[in-house]
Amino acid sequence: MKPKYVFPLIAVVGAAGGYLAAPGLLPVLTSAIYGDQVVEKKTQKPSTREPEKKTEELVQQTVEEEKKTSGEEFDWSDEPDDGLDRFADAYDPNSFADGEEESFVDDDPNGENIEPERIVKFQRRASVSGGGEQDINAPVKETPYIGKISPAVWKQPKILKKRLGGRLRSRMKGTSQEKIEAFLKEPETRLMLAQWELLHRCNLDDLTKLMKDRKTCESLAPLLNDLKWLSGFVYDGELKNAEVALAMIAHFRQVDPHMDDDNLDELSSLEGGLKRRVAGAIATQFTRNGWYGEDRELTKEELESFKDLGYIMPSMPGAKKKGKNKQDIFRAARERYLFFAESIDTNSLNGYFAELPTWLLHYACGWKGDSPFGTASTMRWLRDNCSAPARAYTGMAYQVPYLPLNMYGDTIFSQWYYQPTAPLYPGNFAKQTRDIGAVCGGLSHFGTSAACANGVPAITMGEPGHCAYAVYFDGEWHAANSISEDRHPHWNSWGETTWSALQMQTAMYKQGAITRDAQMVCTLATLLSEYRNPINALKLYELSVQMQPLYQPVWGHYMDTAAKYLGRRPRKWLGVNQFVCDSITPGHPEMCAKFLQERIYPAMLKVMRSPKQKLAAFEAYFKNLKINEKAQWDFHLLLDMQYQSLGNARTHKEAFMRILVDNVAKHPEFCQMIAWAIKTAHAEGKPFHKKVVAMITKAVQDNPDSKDLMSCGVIRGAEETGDFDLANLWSADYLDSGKKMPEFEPVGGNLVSAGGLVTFSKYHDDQSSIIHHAAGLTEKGGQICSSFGKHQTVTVELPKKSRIGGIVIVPTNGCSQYRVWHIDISADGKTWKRLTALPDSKSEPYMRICIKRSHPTAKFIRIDSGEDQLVGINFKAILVYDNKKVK
Amino acid sequence: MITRKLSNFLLIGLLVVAAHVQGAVRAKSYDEALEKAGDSGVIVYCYGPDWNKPSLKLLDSFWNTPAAEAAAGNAVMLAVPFYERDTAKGADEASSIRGRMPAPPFNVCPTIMLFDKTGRRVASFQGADYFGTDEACTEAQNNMRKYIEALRKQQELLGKAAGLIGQEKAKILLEVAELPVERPADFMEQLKLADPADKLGGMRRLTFRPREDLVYKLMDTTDGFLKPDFEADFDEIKKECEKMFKDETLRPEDRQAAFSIYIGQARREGIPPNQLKGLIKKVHKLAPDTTYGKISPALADAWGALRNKLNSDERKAAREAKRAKDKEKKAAKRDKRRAEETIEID
Repeated sequence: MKPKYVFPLIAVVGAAGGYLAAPGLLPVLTSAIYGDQVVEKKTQKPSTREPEKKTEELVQQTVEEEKKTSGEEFDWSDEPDDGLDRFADAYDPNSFADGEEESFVDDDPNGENIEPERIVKFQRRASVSGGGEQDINAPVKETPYIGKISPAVWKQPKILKKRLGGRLRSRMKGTSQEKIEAFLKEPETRLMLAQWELLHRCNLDDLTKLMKDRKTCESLAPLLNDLKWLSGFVYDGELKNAEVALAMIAHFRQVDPHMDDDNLDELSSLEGGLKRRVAGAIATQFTRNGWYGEDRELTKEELESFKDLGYIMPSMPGAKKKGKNKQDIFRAARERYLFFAESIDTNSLNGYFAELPTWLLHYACGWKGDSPFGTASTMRWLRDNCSAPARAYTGMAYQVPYLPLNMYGDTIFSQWYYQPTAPLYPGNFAKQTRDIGAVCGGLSHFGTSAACANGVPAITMGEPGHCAYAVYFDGEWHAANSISEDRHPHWNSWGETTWSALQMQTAMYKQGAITRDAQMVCTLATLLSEYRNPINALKLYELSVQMQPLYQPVWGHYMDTAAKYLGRRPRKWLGVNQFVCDSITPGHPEMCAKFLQERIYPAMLKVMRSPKQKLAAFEAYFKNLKINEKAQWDFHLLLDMQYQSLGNARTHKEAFMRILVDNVAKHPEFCQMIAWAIKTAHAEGKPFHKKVVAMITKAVQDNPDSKDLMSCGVIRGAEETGDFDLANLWSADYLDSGKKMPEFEPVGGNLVSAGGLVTFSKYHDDQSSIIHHAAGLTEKGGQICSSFGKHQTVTVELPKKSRIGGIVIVPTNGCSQYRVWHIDISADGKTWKRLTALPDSKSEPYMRICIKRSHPTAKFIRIDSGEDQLVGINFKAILVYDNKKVK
Repeated sequence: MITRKLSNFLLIGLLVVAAHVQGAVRAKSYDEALEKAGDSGVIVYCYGPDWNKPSLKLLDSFWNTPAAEAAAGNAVMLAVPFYERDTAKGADEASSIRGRMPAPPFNVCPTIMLFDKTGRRVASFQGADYFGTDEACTEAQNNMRKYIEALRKQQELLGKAAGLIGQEKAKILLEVAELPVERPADFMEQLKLADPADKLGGMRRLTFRPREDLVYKLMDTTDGFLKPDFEADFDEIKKECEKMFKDETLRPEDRQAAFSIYIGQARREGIPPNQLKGLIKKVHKLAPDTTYGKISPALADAWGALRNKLNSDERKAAREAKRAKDKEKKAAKRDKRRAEETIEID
């Protein structure tokens, strides 16, 4: 196209754009693009109307069939005739927020002084089905309600899902908080939402196959019509492979015809029957995990084979075709269920088991199905022999002796360890472990399985080079047999397997009532989304996150939808960012950081061009820092992302550092961020580094109470950047204070380590204690404390290369028991030469190494704890001497 | 006259029955129980009223029955509740019942603990393995009888030993050591005083710990783990273990344990299956009812099966790893030698 035609064309398009953007016209346009009109047009196409007709006929058939079988009729009368969005008439789809008209174009992406659009318009209160309000911290308490859908209707899940969807939409009168609350007050509506959610999570073809079996369908229908049970089943854990879980529950009902007879007391009946809830929890976790191996989901092939098994009920043809492996999983789940059913019937579990909400039953009953500790026979023994009050399970692991070698000299890491005694403990691995011994993994699994077998929720966790566990009591998870705060649960009832995720999930479920409401709103949003009504879906997702910001899955849906439809709206993104930071950061900084990195920033930073806007967004996170839930987490990923997004302008980077430093000084338990600031500034060059250090100094002056922790951050940063001067300057106040050194004979010439620097292969978890990070070496030898683990090293960097005449190490009392150290020396910090193993001198309060003839030249001295010791290096002093005459 | 004699006879009979029934005395608190306790001590039933319903059930079906009283004999009986939650009904009274009573070794219910009259815990057992599965807890009754009898015997023997000196005393003390109840805290000191040269071998018998004295000595370990560069000295292991196996002052199960280290190393060294079977048979013959005795008959075959299970690839990988390790070790030795040549350590 020639240039002379291009400019007029641009002008025409521009004019048209301006015209459309005029007030009053844009809503029409957006409605045409996103609103219900499109949905209506599409659904009016003959291709989609045809199946609708067919569906109607099928429903009619089903209803008649139902009349014949049950005599009752499920009332479909209020369903809209067209199956479309009827509430759209009562609701203006063009207004994004009620009573407020908004545009979808960029509202000043380069604006400097943009204000975040606050998305919090919701007053957090949970509705109670049947009317009334309750405290947001109240546990979930659904009103007893039994639906009327007969087994004949459940036989056609596809049709049922469609009808439920239509009916729910017809009942909705709008998306404002008041309207949604009114909507959620009806128990029938709540049941329909749970039913729709269940069907949404099922593979409907497979569910149809399952429901074809009359017995299965009849045994499941009462559960699927029970609001209390179904809402717990659907919402209190991550429901994957839902149709397989249903198959499993049907099987449980066949083997235990008394599943419904356990209403022992009021507590158990609150949430839809204890045994039923246990069945739901076990089926959910077993089908979700597969339990072929630890912590992994089923492969496609495994899932297929499992599904096959699920549908082969004893009453169905083809039951004899079960494969061995398939049977094993099903049998494991059934055994687990029968164990708990029997324990409930005989009242053998912890007396407070019946009080556990459904989400905790997932941990207590859905525990590892693939572990030898998780078999029914082992759990039965644990229940009868290791029954303790909940808090005592944190010490239960220590019933097992810690023995890496058995009496035949075989190591626990080989199959020979338990093999000789296996015949004495048929099907009882827990007892064998208690009698024969184990190491950390066996101890922690013993403690966990003992708790779970008695109905106390517990979970195993990984820590660096170690296995720990956690027990739930007094409303919290308590770590047990733990050596580090860097811990990850081995599994989780849903979502991520981090300690922070577990904490957040716990906090969320403690607010049970409002969480359930938020989950139901999320279901409604998904329903609308499926009916191609994304704008209203977006509004409901937004409402859901406002109701319960800690409910992770809804954020996923919300962000996915928002990324499509919020488009270039920095104010909106700032508002979302602000809301996330306000609601998640104070209690769960790690989860919030992760969430910002993975969900918010990728979309938000694309839209925001102005660094000032970005800084405002980042500040929202730092301002909300309050409690550091654990010492070690990958905070640097968030900081790197924020910092790099600011571009190269020094002023913005400085502003970022100032925000970070000022806010951390107010909550210095996040002092590890200061270490990051030092490192990052160091990479930027001396002037910038100087400025950041000055900022920190000023912040410490303004917040004198933060000095110790801020110093930790600075020293740690200095250690990692090899900054002698900074490390020595900031650690000077902490070294040698009140230190008493033992007297020892001279080992060489002059002290050459004073002013040197100490670094660790792994830093101690406890960031808050300055002694662990005192990097400088003084004339009294500094203060050294590494992390705990195998192969720990401490490296001393001398101020200058020297010929080594001797070394003196003064261990602390706790450290002196470990004496198999190695010393390596190096001139460049890269090539190392082994000097010697440290002499074993248990009687001396110090270790003295005197090099007599050859005096190697070195700048670096490394002390290595070796691979076979699980220790922390903890020295009062390291002193290095040269070979020259004493001055 | 005849009536009078008959009534006297009946009275005596009633007194005998009463005396027998009086055998079991119940106390309401630990402190009261200690006051009432004789040589049979105090036997305590621990239960968890709010969290452990089976133990609460057993309180009526077992503990508060004549059968339990009969099993307790002359011991003072006391039931002590342990609550999980302070807010539970009755939790306030629990601490006054417990008084100065030491907690059970593991806070597990049901637990039965036996204390001597000074308040020293001499025995405890807990869980279904020691209670049995029947409602009357026959197993628990047997255990109660066993421990109370052992405590009574211990008191008797210790009283006897108090009047003796030298080896005579040591002999009595060694009888005490064989009883299934915990020994007094100063027991070993008393034994040492009575037999300073350990002529009876009692000290050796009681202090021998196969794991600490043999495994950790013969196999180079840190915190119980084998050191990576450990190489077993088969001849030394054989010599030491055979010596312990023949030492008749040691308990049979300790001798078996000692010999098992040798057997394990022999298997790893790859001795012929028949020879291995012969060694295992010796262990079984010494004491067939111990753990080692029980597992011995099937052990050789089980090991054989496991070895077959390890497929050839694994073995090949292990061989290769070992070869590489040997090479590394040789290189390390060489380096060490060179370093020592140049650096002399004080």
